[in-house]
Amino acid sequence: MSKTPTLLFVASVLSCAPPTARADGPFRFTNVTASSRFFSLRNQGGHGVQWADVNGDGLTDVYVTNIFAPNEDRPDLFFVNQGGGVFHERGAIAGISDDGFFGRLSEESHAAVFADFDNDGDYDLFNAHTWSGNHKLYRNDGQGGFVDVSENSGIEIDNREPRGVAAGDVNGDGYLDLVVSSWENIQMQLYLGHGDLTFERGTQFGRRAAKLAQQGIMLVDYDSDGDIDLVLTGHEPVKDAIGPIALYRNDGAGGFVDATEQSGIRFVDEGVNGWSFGDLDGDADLDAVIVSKQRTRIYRNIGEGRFLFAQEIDRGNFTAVLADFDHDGDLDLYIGGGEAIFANDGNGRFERHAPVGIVGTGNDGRATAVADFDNDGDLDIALVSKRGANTLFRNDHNGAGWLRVRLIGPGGQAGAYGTKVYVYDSRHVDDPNHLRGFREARGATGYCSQNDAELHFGVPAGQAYEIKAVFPNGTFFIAKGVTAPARVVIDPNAPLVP
Amino acid sequence: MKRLFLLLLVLLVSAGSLRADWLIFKNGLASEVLAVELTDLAVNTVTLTGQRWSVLQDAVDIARTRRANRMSGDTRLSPGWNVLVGVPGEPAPSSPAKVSRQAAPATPPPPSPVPAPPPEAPVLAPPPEAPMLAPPPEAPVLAPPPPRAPVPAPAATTSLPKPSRQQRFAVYVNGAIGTEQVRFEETHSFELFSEQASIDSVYRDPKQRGVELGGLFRVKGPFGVGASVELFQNHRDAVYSASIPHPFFFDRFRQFSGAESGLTSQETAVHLDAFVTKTWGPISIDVFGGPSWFFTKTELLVDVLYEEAFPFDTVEPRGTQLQVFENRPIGFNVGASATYRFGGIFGLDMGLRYSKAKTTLFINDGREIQLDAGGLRLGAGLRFLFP
Repeated sequence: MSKTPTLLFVASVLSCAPPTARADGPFRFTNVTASSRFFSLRNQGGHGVQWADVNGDGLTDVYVTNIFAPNEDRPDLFFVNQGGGVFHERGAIAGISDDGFFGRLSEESHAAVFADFDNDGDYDLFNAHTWSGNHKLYRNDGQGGFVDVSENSGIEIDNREPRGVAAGDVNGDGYLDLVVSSWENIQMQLYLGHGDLTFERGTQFGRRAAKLAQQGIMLVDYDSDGDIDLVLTGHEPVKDAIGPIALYRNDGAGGFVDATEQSGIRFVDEGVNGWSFGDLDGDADLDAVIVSKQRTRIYRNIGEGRFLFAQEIDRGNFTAVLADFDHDGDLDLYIGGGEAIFANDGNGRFERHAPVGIVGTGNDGRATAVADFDNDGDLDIALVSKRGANTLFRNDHNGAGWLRVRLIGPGGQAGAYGTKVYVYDSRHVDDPNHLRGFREARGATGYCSQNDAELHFGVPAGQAYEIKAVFPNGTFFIAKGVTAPARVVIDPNAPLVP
Repeated sequence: MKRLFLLLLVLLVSAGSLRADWLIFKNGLASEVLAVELTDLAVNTVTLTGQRWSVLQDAVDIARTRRANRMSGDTRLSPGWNVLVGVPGEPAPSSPAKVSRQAAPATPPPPSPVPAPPPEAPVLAPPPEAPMLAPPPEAPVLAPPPPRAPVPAPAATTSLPKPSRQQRFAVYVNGAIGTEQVRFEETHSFELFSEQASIDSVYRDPKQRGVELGGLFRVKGPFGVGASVELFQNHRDAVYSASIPHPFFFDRFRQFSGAESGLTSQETAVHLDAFVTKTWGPISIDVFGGPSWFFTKTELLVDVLYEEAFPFDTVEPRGTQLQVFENRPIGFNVGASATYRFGGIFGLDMGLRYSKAKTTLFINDGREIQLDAGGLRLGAGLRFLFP
């Protein structure tokens, strides 16, 4: 008899106790929605939020996809970071507001994704329009504006009520592909990119996905085999004991195999909204966080695509974001819409803290994503809410113990989605005992959310580190002797310079 | 030791057909040596003034001769080579020691009313007021055994070249070589990938060869001024070895080496000198020194080029980056030259000059390299002397 069920049982019992709330934690935030001009009379009713440095000025911009309530017909908003912690909304000027005024309400969308589909070093935009299926693909013109290239993109205009979107190189050809989840038991879509902003339809997925009213979708190498797998959450639970989730392992050629049962994850709930993946226990693999409206569960990766339940948190919503908010070296947890931060004890167990400043979270929070928008080295939080103001929380940790890593792929792709980045103590590269952090670059997380592609690590300040990036094609790059705090650009195409 | 030296001296003089003046330095003091060849002469006299001379009659019995002929005043020379050694420490003569040789007439002279002294006895010559010390007709001379006759005026008088001190102006052209091979090293260390990269370059010049053109003007007495230009051009060789850190891993250096040849090394030096001349018969010695202006053109290897590709475990050398530096440092020079005037305005010149100037080469990347211009050089050539 395998020991796994026993371990699973023990872990489940131990995790039943709810996390204890602490009010004196290290987390301090300030709601800067107004002062940063993230606030707009139109900036409410958000469903998706995406961070990216669109104009390449070193300042992270943010895009908000709006839909539905309380008032329909809201344009998507594009906040261009002006520096100094201030944004200017430039959606219409940039050509990506997708305003559905004058009765064209169907242009509203749940989610979008910034991704460098043409490998030219800047972020293009795919916006999945929920009601019309009139998806938009925009090419970044390199000047901060976008050009609509949807017409010949090969992306079908099909009313499938898309929800989540994600970008990643699923077939390993060096070009980003696109996946779009769909509501109402409609098969999700995979588009294989050609690197020139044109796509072709990819594989069909199995029965499990088709039975879900899909929500958040992610492309992530959860089995650590070097290719990009796909995970999915949904509503309208299936009748089996697994729950409305799906995990597809990449067969190495861009095809996907349903591996939900083999994953060991069971999340039976009426509706599951989003995944998050991160190395919660410092063992260089991706552990899983699943969020439903009522609860959040933590699963520890035990290798070969299998997980072990580790902890349940009696708070839930749509998206849980993982970030090292306090620079202590491990990933903390923020469940979008809540007012608590769950601090990681370093071993993947979370303890609830009531931080200073996460107040006014709106109503019915949906997507949440992190970025260091003020470039002070810590990660800030953007939260969009379906029935309230979208909000921005500035992290006031301000500690010097951080590294930020901006990736350029071997083909010149901004963000290098799918790349794994490891931070080691200096002169200890590849030594697991000196691993300081592990992240995977990806194009989407949780529910309709996208963190800034510039990866963030909390590390002790003043020390030297080695940053190893392993690209999806198997090549790697190591930046030696990087002393925190530092922003590092890893670009294998650029001349090697210290 | 001294005996051996004198023997060597005589042999050297005997080996040629020229008369020669010599300046011998021994124990820091100067001794003048004159070697005089007398052939088939019946009567020979030498007037030695102001200095005590030893006469070496032959090369065989030096010791005896020195003992026997240590004297001053006029003395008699024997046929063959005679070597006169001026003893140091004696009072300085008002004029150089004058050695004259009086050849016997082709025909026997008429009988002299004055008995000639015995052939072996020295006779006093007249006071040496004449620069050319041919004995006056009335002076008693040594006559060969019979016939005994009064000594007429010499049919021919041979004298050594006039002292070069009388030449006020000279120009010279010399070929010059460096006395030592120029070799220098340069190490360029810099931080690369959080480690120290280094490029070690070793430069070697072939023997320096050039020309020297110059002129002297004697202002007063032994003192004068001069100017000269040295031109040197070489093609320098460089050998380099590079140690490049691995971009990813510590302590995993990539190493390679290579060479460059034909690097330009040009140096033009203008020397302005004050000099002092000391003359011994046809030989003059100039000691000089003064400021020097250098115009240098130096080509150096400032970087190595290489290619590398993932996984960067090796690098592929792709050549070097060269840079030409032009500088104008100012320094000094000192030296000495010896001239043998062998007739007319012509003389042979040989000199040794040491010059030096510090020059700083500024490389584009901000580095500085210190080099010396000049060096110790030996030159030889022709000197043209003018009154």
